[in-house]
Amino acid sequence: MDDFVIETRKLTKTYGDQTAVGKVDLHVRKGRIYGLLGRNGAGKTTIMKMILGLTSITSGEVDVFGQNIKGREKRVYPRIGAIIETPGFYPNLTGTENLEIFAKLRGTASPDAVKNALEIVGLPYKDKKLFSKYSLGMKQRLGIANAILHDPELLILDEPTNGLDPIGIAEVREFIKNLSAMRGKTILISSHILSEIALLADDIGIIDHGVLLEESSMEELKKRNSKYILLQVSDVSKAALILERGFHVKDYSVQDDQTLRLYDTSLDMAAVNKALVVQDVAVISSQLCNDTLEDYFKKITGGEGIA
Amino acid sequence: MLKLLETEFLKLRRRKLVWLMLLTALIMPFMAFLLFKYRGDTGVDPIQFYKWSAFGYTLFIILPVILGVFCTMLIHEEKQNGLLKQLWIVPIGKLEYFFSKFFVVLLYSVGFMLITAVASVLFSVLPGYVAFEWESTLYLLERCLEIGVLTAFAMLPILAIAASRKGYILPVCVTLVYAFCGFIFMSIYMYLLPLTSMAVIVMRNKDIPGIVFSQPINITLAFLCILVWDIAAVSLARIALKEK
Repeated sequence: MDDFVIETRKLTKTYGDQTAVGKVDLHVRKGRIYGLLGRNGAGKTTIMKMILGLTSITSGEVDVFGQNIKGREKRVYPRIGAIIETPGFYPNLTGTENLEIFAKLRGTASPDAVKNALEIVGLPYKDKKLFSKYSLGMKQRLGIANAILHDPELLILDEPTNGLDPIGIAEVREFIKNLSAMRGKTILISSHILSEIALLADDIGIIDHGVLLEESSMEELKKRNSKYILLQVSDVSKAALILERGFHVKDYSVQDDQTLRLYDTSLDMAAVNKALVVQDVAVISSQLCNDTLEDYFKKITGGEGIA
Repeated sequence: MLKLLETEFLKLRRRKLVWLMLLTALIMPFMAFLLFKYRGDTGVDPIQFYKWSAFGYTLFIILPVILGVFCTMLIHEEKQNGLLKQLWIVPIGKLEYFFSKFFVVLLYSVGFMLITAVASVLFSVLPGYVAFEWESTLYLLERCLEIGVLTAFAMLPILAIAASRKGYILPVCVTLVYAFCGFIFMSIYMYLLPLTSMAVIVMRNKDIPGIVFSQPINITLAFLCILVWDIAAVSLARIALKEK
């Protein structure tokens, strides 16, 4: 059985007649980076807020570390670090003073926790610059520093690279990867930037209009979106049998009652076509396809692409 | 809770307005000084001077308005900057949060009244209007501490309104109306508002010259009034913060 750090079951949030999130089943596995991808307003932040108990759930359930978070906040929250929307801090204080407040409230044991967290995100320790004078990128970095301050097992990061410059984005991506790879942190990250999720996530959930359209591992998704042969035939089951027996094809998927996807593009298609026709399976078409992740996103959301 | 209180004071660093507002504690002692200078009185009864400098407008208008603004500032900034959701996931209890704010208001209120007390003594003794004596000074100090503590409790409903609203306009407006109503209800029914009930408790011995009560003094009723309002305020804050 998979070890889920976050599991939602039919998670739903409605505002009056409007459904912001509808029956979302999310599965975040331990030690993995889960990328929640969707356009602005797709429901990513609402899902994260519901997971953290920051907004009420209309229906459905959320388990964090195997149990419902409600009533267990004091035990569960210290194991979570989060940024939701734009991280807010006290404008009259410096970054260090702000983190010292949160460290004190959390009872962070390590005396160097603030210094270490600032170092990780590349902000100076004991700097005199007030938070009100910070750039958007610096604010975002401070938010991340606050999220990792108490060395949590689970990080929930809502668009953490918002406002960062390209170098900053790469740095944050690298350190998020390191947190997962080196320190075994479980990370749920949301973004509307497909390339960012593609570079970072181990697992991906695609959300659109509050509905989770797809949830799979990145590996699986990439495989699905790599080169493949799209074969349209009159009888899919018979064609599959011929491919398996005659050509030892195992890496394929059935799309509908007329379409097969063959992921082994080195197949001799002339021989395949001949074998199918000989055994009374009409070949309607066969073509080499090459979908990108963006093509896939477009397809499943039924709309325009994403950056 | 102690950690929370400690951080509440750290949050006030570099907030000049908060400290500048304390200077308003000097207004009435200074006005009393001007009044007695104008009259040219010397050898005045200290209580007579303190009635003007500490027990009059300070009690009914200045301190409640300053505390109302302070309550609003304390909560509004955290809401405006999206800090509440960061605090909730620390986690901090909603009531714990509310009471930590109240404690800051309480200390601020006591501090304000101590400044008033010191300024009253200085403005009365130094120009020679009042001869310094320990008895009246201690009386002033005691009453100022009482006012400081009780006004903080009387302002709890404003703190709850500030916690329940997104903006700052309503709590500030309610503060002004509340302070104004204090005057009106003093002559109608003193035990309806915490502010007037607080005045009843402070002036329970009827030892402040020139103050006449329209109804009989009932300390129990005055405390009950404050208690009922404060329970309602805590309930409102609990519901409002829970919703957020």
